[in-house]
Amino acid sequence: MEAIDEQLAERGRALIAAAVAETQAPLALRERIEADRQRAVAPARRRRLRGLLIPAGGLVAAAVVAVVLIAGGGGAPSVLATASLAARGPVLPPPHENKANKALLESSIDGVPFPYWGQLKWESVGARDDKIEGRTARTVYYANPKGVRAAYTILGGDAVDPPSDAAKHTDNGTDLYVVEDKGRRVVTWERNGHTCVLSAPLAVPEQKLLDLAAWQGNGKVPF
Amino acid sequence: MLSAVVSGPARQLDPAALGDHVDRLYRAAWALCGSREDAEDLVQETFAKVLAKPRFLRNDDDLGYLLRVLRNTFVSRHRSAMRRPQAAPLPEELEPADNSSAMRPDQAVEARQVFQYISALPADFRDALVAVDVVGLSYGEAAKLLGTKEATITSRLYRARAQVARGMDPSRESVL
Repeated sequence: MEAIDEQLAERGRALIAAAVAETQAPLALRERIEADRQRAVAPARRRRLRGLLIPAGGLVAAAVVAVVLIAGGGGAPSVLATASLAARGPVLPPPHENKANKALLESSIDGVPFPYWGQLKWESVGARDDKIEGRTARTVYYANPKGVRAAYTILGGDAVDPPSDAAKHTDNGTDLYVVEDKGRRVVTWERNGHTCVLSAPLAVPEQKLLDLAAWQGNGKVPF
Repeated sequence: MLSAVVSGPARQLDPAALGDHVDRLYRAAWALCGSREDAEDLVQETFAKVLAKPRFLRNDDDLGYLLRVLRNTFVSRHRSAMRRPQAAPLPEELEPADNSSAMRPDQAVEARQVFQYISALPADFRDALVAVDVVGLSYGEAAKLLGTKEATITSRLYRARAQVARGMDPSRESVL
């Protein structure tokens, strides 16, 4: 009787694990939450802006604030700040495979295209666009058959330095830097002068993440 | 209601990082409600509550905090619903088998059934199973969150998993 209960519990655990692995929040729900989040953040920004203007009380202060807002603070975003965009989740549909080049997706930043990893069993499942420190950052989300998700961000503008404590690897002639942050493994490297950031849960082996980052699709993915 | 876990200095919950938890909260909500549509509403209401004002936590357990808010919101909604007159759903209002996020139709049906069986479990069993198997908290985290002992979580999980398996197997006694 005990052995039967044991088997049942194990069967139940496996059934639940399978249901969990194949279930993701609908894109429409993510979009509604993202819209709520942006609405919630906007009043806070306005309050901060008023807090800056009132003590200064003049046009000079207003001009300074405007310049800071437009320039996005003036500094380059860090790799980890860029990687944190992945946590916000996809709010756009996944880009399609490029019909002319099956190693690429129909999405790019400053002419740097995202790879299509279908043959590696990682399908694109969503995307998002952000502004970080005044720069455009586009993220494409990929998922493997187990439902594990990786986020690939290409940062617009000049490349930024990798984190100082990142471990360096070289694969396919590309320098890749690996660091762990907030329970995720983050890989960063350059493609055509742009910073790319790939992050995934720690459950994804480091070598797997490095292989994905350095994958050049037999020369069809421009680096 | 679930108990709060308090230790260490306060820090503000980062709204920008909430998106990382949507999938897990959605699954938890589905397992609590037994319906995808109700789960979507519950998750959105949970995030709306969290985003309504700055939140300060005394630990790094954002997910545990969000699960607590989700569960409390679920309990409040359930109580409100119980006070309203109940209407039996017409056949066309019953939960459809389709699940666009699943890879195959048979998987979609099975996932829907699994979540429905979980939602029909006794609340103590259901909450332990949602915290550990659905959301992915450790036994210790689940015990703190649910205000009980790890050994109790272990026992509830064991029995809850077995009940789900029985429910999914027509040849065995169903929990529904």
